[in-house]
Amino acid sequence: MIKILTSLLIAITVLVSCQVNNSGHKQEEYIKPDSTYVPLHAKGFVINYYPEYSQIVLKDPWGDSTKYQTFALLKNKAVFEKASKQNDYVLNYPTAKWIALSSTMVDYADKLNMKHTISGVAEPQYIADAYIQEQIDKGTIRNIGLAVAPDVEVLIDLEPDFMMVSPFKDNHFAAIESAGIPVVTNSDYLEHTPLGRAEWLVFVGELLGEGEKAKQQFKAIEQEYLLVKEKALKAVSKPTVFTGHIYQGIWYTPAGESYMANFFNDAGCDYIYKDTKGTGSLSLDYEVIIDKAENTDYWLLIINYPTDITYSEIEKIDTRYVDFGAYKHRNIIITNASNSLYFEKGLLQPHIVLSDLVYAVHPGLMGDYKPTYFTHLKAE
Amino acid sequence: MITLLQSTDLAVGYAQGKANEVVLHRNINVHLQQGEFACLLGPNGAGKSTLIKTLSGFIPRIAGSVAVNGKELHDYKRGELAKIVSVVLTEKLQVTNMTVFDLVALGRTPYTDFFGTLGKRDKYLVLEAINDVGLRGFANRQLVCMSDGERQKAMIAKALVQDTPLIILDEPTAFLDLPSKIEIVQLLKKLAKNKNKGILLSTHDLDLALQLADKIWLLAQGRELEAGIPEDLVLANGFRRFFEKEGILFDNNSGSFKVEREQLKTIRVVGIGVEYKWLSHALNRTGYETTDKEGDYPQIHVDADSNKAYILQQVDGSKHEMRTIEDLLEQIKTHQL
Amino acid sequence: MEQHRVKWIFGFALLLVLIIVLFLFNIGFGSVSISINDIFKVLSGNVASKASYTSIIYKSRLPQTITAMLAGAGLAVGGLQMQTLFRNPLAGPSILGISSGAGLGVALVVLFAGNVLGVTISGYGLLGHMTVVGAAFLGAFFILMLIVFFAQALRDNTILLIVGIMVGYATSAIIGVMKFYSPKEDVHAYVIWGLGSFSNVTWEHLMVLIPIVIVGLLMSLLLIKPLNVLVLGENYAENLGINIKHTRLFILCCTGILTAAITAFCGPIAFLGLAVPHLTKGLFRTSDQKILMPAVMFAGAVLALFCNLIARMPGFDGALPINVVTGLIGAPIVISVIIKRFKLNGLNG
Repeated sequence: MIKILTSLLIAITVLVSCQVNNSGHKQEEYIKPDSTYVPLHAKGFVINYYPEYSQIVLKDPWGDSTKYQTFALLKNKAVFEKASKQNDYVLNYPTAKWIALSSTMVDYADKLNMKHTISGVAEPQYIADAYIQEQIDKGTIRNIGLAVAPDVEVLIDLEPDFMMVSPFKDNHFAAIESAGIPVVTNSDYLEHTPLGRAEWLVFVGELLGEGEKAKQQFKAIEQEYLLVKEKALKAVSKPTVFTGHIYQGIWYTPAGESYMANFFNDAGCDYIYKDTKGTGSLSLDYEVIIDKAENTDYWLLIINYPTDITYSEIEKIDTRYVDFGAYKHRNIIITNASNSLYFEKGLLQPHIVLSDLVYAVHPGLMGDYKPTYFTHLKAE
Repeated sequence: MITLLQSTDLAVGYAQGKANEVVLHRNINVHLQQGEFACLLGPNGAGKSTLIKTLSGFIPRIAGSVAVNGKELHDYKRGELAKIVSVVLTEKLQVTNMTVFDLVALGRTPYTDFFGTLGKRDKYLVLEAINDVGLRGFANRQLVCMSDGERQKAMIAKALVQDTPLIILDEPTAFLDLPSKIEIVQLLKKLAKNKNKGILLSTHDLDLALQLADKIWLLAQGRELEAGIPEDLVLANGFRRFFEKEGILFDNNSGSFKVEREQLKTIRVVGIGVEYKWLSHALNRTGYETTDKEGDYPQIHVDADSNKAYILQQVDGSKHEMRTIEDLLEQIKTHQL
Repeated sequence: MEQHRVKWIFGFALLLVLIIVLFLFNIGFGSVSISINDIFKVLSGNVASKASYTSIIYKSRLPQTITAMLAGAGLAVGGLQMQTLFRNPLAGPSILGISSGAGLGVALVVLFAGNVLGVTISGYGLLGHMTVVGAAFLGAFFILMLIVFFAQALRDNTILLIVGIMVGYATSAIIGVMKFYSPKEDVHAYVIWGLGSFSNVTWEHLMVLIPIVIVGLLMSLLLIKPLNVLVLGENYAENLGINIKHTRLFILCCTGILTAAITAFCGPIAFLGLAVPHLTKGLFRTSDQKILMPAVMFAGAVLALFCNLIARMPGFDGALPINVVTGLIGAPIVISVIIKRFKLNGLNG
């Protein structure tokens, strides 16, 4: 009896896992594209140009090179059949209606002047954009619910060309896909270089029919960024820097190969954890960080605080902060996300973020510069 | 001498708010003296528990009065009441890591200090109580390692050491075996006399009550409580009234319940002594009416001399001699007498 | 009786020694290795080889250690009271839903406020500990009041227990709804809170926690006699002169206040309240609260210090959450209790 049950259990498990690993691809034979846009910095996408359509190849957000998705951007309906055979998805091009699940996606559209193509957003309370709020009030843009659990009926009703989402692991968009709405994953925040993240502007631009514009804009950002980076490399000294704060007893700080670490490196700083491996965060406890950072020059503090931040405010938040050298010498570089819009807009302005950082630690190099996001927290 | 426990026109029952009063018994007039051992008897559902709870102070009386040493029960403050009446209940205790001494010592609660520390005198009284109930040497025994009978004795010791003039027990022998039951009831009678306590025991052991109680209180549904000495109650047909049901008779003679049985045939039994008694018992049990008159039916002689034998004489004169009653019954069955 | 006395003295002496040893170990060990020399220097008010060592010992290890001792003692005492009152060996201080109440308060601040105010509070948010602590305390207190109200109205302890459990379920459900609508950083922060931590308590917090726990522990000493008598059951206890209603209320308030305060500052700490009374009974082999109550306080402190030490063993750059360690240690204890009870009483246990 037990044997039968065990075999049954194994059989069911095998069947179920086979279903889940259903990532077959349509493209049986490889056809050479006319040209390809291979991003210099971003690693998550590639754009192939075929005579009949453009193709976006989205790689697996977590680096599995055997998994990828192909989207055909179809202008000419006549080749629909062919495109369907050779791609996982065929999207209307340029898109007239799409769903943006986060505020950064709205920001992309804003940069490209294409906000009017958005027909639905999730969690509008987090989107600061005035235009979007207006349209929601008017009813021309719909609130589709939670980003992790959007309302399928509203989505179907909107008949969008696609829904743009952040990378996800389980299959909680299965219902939406089977309803015929393509889910396009924007993996920008998984890039760990600042320029890599910003380059996804090209990806969004291509989808929205403004590929060339996006490429130009990105080029400008890239140039500016590299200029500033050059300047920083010329700095005489490399100040040490650490970042993060205590929350619920844990101090999170980026690892040595991460997005923030790259900013530090490019800004001519010596990030105290730059030699650690990984692109995510380290979770440390207070002892470790105070031991390592007690004499570090600068403390980059990114927080979301409802009122103005001062040194005495910081002390109130946690008395342990006063022991850091950067606190004692009043060398905290800060951005208060509640009014700096760092998280909404900073992603697409890496050149400005970098300039802010360089200005903060190498003021002489930047001349008469006005920082946008990061400033020195002045002593009262 | 002030009566220890005195109730006057007491009514007991449950009151769930002023509107929902359920009165189980009215006009209860009983009393108990120090040194007296009384048993409360009655069929199930009679309301014995309610009366017990009222007399112990667990639930309030509905009407009338109940006084201990002249003072109304509900006028006693909590701490005072603990020194007036102690109880032993049916519930089984479930504790680990507790010795007999620990348990009995809890009976000193009304007398110990804030943390419950035992003084020298307290410890002495505890050990004395343990001895009094016949558990000498058990003081350090773990409760979980004792029999139910022994545990209940320990509970009685606890009630003893609580040093109350009145001790009320609510069916403490319910789950005990017969020897333990006997032991306990005997103990209670002894304690009432030797320690000059007034002890009220609610029980189903009619037999033991008849043998040992100074007073018996009879309680049944729909009847007023009757109290008196056992013999008077029997003769006044108290037990008949309270307990008889269809097919069950109280035999005033033997002081026990007899089950009515259809008796079809008659047999004459001749003899004396204990063999005669039990032979008649066996014949009655198997469906025969016994008589000592001669008649047109078989008869049995009990030969209680040197060779004990039962001689069965059939109507046709044939005789059979048997050594045991069982053989005799067999014989009777075989011959379809 | 005398051999028992010796055993008990030995037991207390052992616990005291363990407390001292574990206290020192907790000061001495952590994610950063500090030499014994330096530890002595810092403790005697001198300067050590690194200034950070002073911060580490005074601002992190010392408050943590004290918190662990307080929390361990307080929760253990609460567990003992709950197990005695409800005559249930599987009861713990969280059984009345008070920790869930604290969780509800925290959820309202961390999850709900974030959603309503449109601000992701956690991760980069610093509303300050006091708000979270205050909310936890209020939530716990609110549930405590609810339980006390029911306790007045209900005579039966079993029903009270059920009410407590239902309250726990209800608050979990509400928290679940809030989790559903919250951004992932907030949910993560809430989860972290739920794993428990002694290291979030600063000296300012201790100024509040220490008096509350001390009051709670003193209150429980007052309960020694009634708890001893309650073991017999409520009927016998009443007959012996114990005011059942008052006693029950006192027990609930005592355990409630201890649990509320500790949960507010440390998050819901699992298993300690449940396991320590059993461990103590095993060590001292008595049911006498005169011995058990103080013993449980010491044993609770010992176990909490031990768990805290393991959670912060050098080797992890961060620290394990407390509930992970208490679970790993507490679960086997609870299981052995169940097995032992099963063996003793058979299926009716």
